[in-house]
Amino acid sequence: MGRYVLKRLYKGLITFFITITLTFFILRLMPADPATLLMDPRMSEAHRQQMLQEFGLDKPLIVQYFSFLKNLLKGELGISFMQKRPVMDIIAEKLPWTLLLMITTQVTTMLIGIPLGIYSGYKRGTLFDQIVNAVAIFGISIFVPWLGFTLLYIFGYNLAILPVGGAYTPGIEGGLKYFLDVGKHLILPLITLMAIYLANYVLYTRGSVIDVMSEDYIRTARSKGMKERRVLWKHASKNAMVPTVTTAGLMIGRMVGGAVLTETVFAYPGVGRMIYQAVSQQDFPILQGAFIILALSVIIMNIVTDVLCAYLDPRIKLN
Amino acid sequence: MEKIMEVVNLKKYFTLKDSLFSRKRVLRAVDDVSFELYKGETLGLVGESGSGKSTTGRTILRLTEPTSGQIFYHGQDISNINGEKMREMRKNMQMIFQDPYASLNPRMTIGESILEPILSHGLLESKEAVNRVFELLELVGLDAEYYYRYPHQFSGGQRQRVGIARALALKPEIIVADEPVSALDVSVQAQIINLFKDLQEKFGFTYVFIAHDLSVVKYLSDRIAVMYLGEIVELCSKDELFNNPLHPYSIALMSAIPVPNPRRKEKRIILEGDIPSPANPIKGCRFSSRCFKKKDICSEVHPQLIDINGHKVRCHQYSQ
Repeated sequence: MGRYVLKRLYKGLITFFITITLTFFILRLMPADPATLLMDPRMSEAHRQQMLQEFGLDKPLIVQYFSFLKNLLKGELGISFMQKRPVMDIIAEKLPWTLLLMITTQVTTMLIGIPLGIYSGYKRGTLFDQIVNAVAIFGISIFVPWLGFTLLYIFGYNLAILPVGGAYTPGIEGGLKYFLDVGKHLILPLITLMAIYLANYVLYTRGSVIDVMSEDYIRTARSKGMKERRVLWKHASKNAMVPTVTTAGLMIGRMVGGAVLTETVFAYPGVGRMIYQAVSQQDFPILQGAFIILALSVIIMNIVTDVLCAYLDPRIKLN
Repeated sequence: MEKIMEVVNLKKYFTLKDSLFSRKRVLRAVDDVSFELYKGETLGLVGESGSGKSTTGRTILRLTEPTSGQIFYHGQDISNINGEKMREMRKNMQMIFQDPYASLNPRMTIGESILEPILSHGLLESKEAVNRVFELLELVGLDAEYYYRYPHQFSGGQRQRVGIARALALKPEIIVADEPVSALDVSVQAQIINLFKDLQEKFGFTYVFIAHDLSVVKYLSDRIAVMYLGEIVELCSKDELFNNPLHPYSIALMSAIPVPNPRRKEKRIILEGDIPSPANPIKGCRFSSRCFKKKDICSEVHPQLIDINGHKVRCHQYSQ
């Protein structure tokens, strides 16, 4: 097991290196250079050159690349063109909010979606299963911003019981009050994201439970005289979890897309909204930093997923 | 001999629905099967694929629900008991499956798989139960240390030994073996068959041995039931069946057994066509479409199982 984890870490490191290299060069392919964008049209060409020099953009691409790698090793991601602050600081400000949103979304969707999927797969074809299925398909088909706006309109504007944006109310600090305030701000983005991801968990889990329930070893378990509850929750569910765990790993990577839309709609001060702003402002260093952080989290999630799968399925370890 | 099980008019119909708008069709997998099972004997159940032999085996253990009919275990009708009562009943009758790999949970070590029913039925305390699993493993010819291995780490023959140990764990009276050797190499088949025989001599199990390989069945069985399209067409002692088969289908089967003597040329009876689908009801005798002794009555009247001095056969030739 230890060797397996080590091997996965090593692979992850290589993937990470390739990703950051690609990120660096792809961003340099963008048509405009930031100095032109930043500059006041009245400033002179000499001023522009000086600015490029300040950011190190006058040097050849390959030199830029190596200084980028060197800085990265020191944990520096450069200076934001727009905000003139270290990217690391900006991300450190935004990341906790995104993590809060992502983790609560993942945990709640898993806690609701997996048991729901297991049970509806077990009760395949019943009314319960059909209702769950219909709701899941509906959830999968929803366009995120539309759902976001609708929820905002109903709960934020019409009923006015939930805040219309942000992650907290400025001024409230510390203690239970702050905690509740953050929770209140979290509800609508959470529901929006859940609506999309819940369906994935339910449908994948349901599908693999249906597969597993027709396996011979389920019949064996019954023939041994196991209680039906044990057949479902011990023999079937654990075996059905492998595809779900894999899906969860992939989904966390895909969540970024959902986060950009959701955070923008709800003016949530997270990484997603930061990416949206950085794209519209051509702020390379921020985008670069954001992509590196995202790549890192996807790679880590993949390693966690693989290790979890190996734990869940003893057949994986050997190969 | 003590009768430990009696199956009366057992039927298992499956409803087929090909598409949303097509008519429902009924597949008669097991149609009106009756037989008795005596303590310590081996009843062979033979037939082609689709003859309903596996379904019969599963249905008498209530692993599939019978459509109608009764199953008596020591005189008690078990065909409609449920829940905790049925769970208790499972102790007495176990099944060994055709595919030993698929029938073991890949997430459990084989020790856990064998241990689970012992604990669940509260037969032994956990420490004694683990020792019992070690004993069982040795009994079926496996090392006790295999307890901690997973099913994928075994060869086919070893897996079937695990399957047997698992079935023995509850000390059942009846063991239904559903083609337990057909997935194994011929050399391994012999070992497993001998294991079956040894275990029966040692513990007096009653076997229902399902197979399509007649030489395997001949070696193990005391009595044999020949099935065709969900029906028993012949039921008699092994010697009687091999020396004096009555039903044309059995005669054809017997003629298909290879004889290990190149000079002995026996005429084989080649049956035309395949076994018809059990979803299409046939008027008259179900075997009539392939029978080489077909008479007019055969396609009109469905023959009954008649008893000729303890040799049961379902064929118009023998009815007066």
